[in-house]
Formats: sequence, structure tokens, C-alpha cells
Amino acid sequence: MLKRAVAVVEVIAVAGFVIMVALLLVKQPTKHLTALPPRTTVPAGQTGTTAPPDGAQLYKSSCAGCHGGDGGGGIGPQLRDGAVTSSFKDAASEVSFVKSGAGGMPAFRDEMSDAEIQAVVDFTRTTLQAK
Amino acid sequence: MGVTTASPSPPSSAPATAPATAASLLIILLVGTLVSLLFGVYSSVHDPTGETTIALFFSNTVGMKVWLTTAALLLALLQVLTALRLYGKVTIPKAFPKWLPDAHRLFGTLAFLLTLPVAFHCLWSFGFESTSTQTRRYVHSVAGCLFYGAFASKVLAVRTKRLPGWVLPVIGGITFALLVVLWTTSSLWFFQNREFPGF
Repeated sequence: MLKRAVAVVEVIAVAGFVIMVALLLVKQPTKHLTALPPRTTVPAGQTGTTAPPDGAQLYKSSCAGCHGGDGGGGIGPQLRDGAVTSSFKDAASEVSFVKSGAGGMPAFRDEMSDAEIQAVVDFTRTTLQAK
Repeated sequence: MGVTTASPSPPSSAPATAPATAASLLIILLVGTLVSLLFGVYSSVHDPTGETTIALFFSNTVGMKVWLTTAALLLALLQVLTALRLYGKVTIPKAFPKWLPDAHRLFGTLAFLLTLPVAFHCLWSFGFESTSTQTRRYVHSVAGCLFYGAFASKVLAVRTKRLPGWVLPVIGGITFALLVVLWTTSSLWFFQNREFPGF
């Protein structure tokens, strides 16, 4: 009896692995992060200056996993369509929230610099709202 | 651990030819490396979607991931304990249960099965965290890729005859250790820093 159960579970495991690999290769996103603006880079030959933090890129790498590539929400709440500006009347309060975190939102004060947090907050309040 | 799809063979008493053994070990190592690399390459070149995918019978995706990973770790722990009895490292229970090898296989296979939806979401939605300053996510990404490579090696080692007796416990131990790292850098972190998600 147990042997049969093991055999069945093994077949399911193999099938599950095959399905996972197939989905990894063929499943297309409904909202693709590449729709976000490309990362800005320092032009070649320009030295001695630091490119400002790229809010779009930071959002993609640190926020989109929970809030969705276009801010439509997912694990975390929706940000677009005025949701973020409704929750935070000004950028300073949003910056403070992102730094300290609360509930399911992790604190980012140790993950990003002040300038990076400001950049990603600006992105969520401007570009992301226009999507 | 390990998470296996077959019960471990006791150390072989038959004399193994050194070249054949070395070749088998090399193949096992290469296959494991290849699997790890494939997962690593996929997660690096695949553009992370940032979308939730599946929640199965859980209320949300993150709850599914946290609890399935925890369940997989517990099953893997059971497999380690049963492996200790199979190898005679512990003598509890005193009488060797006939069902123990099958239970060992079942624990491992179920643990592997439970990791699949979690891995799918990690790979498809998040991708590989290559920023070394994001230590937790970086370690989690590396361990995730290595885990499936180690698992592939473990499956091959279980099914390869005339291997030295130390091979299977070592690969199994590595596989289990990687699962512990994965759980520590995901579920445990989530429990400590966020919440106990509902089912």
C-alpha cells in the first residue's frame, strides 16, 4: 500500500517538475516590467559625476515583486490609479513609510539610501500614476 | 537530507573499480552543476514579471510560499531522521520497521513536490537577485539554484550502484543544508520581520 502511494507521489513529482519547467519557458506575463523606462546610465567619458538614482529601476528591483510591475498590486497593495497619492498626501510621508515599514511592508532604510528612497517614491507618485 | 525519490542503498560491500566509481561521481557532480547553472541562467536572463502567480488552496501567494517551504523543511527533517535509522546511526525504534524505506522515500518526494510551486514563483516572478548588497535575497537565490542541482545529484546517486558509502549521506546532507538556508532566508525571515501569514 505504502509502496503504491510512493510510486504515485513520485509520478506526480516528476509531472510537477515537468509542468514547472514548461510554465517557466512558455508562461507570458500579463503586465511586463520591460514596459518601465530603461535604466539611465552615465554617458561614456563623463567622469566625476554620479548618476541620480533611477526610481524606475529601483521600483522594478525592490517593489514590483509585491506591488506589481505597473503598480497594480499583487502581494502588496495597488499603488497606481491614485492609490499611493491617496494614502500619502505628500512625498515626505511616503518616504517615511518606506523607510520604516509597517504591517506587511518591510523597512527599506537599510536597503536603500535616502536618495534612492526619494527616487522610487517620486517614481510611484509620477510615472507610475501615468501608466 | 535528503529529498530523494528512492530509498538509500546501504554502502556496497562489493569492490568498486576506481575508474568506474570516479566516472560515476563525476557524472553526478556534472549533472548537479548543470542543473544549478540552468536554474541560475534562467533566473538571471528571465525578466522578472513581479506578478503573483498561484496560491493553490492558500489565501495568497506569499502565504502559500511561506507555509509550503516550512512543510517541505519538516518533511525533509523527517527524511533525515529516517535516514539515520536506515543507516543504523540511531536505533529508535529498536525493531527496524519494514515500511521505513518507503516512508523515507515518501517524505523526500513530498518535500520536493512542495518546493515546486514556490520555486516557480521565485524564478518566474522575482528572478535571480544579483545585487550582493541585498544579502538575504542574494543568498536565497544562490541556495535555490544549488538546491535543485544538489537534488538532481542526490537522485542520481541513489540510483547509481557501487558508489562509496559516504557519497549519498554527503549529497543528502548538502541538499538538506541548502533547504535549511532557503527556509531561513525566506519563511523564517518572513515570520520574524513581517507576520505569520494566514492559510
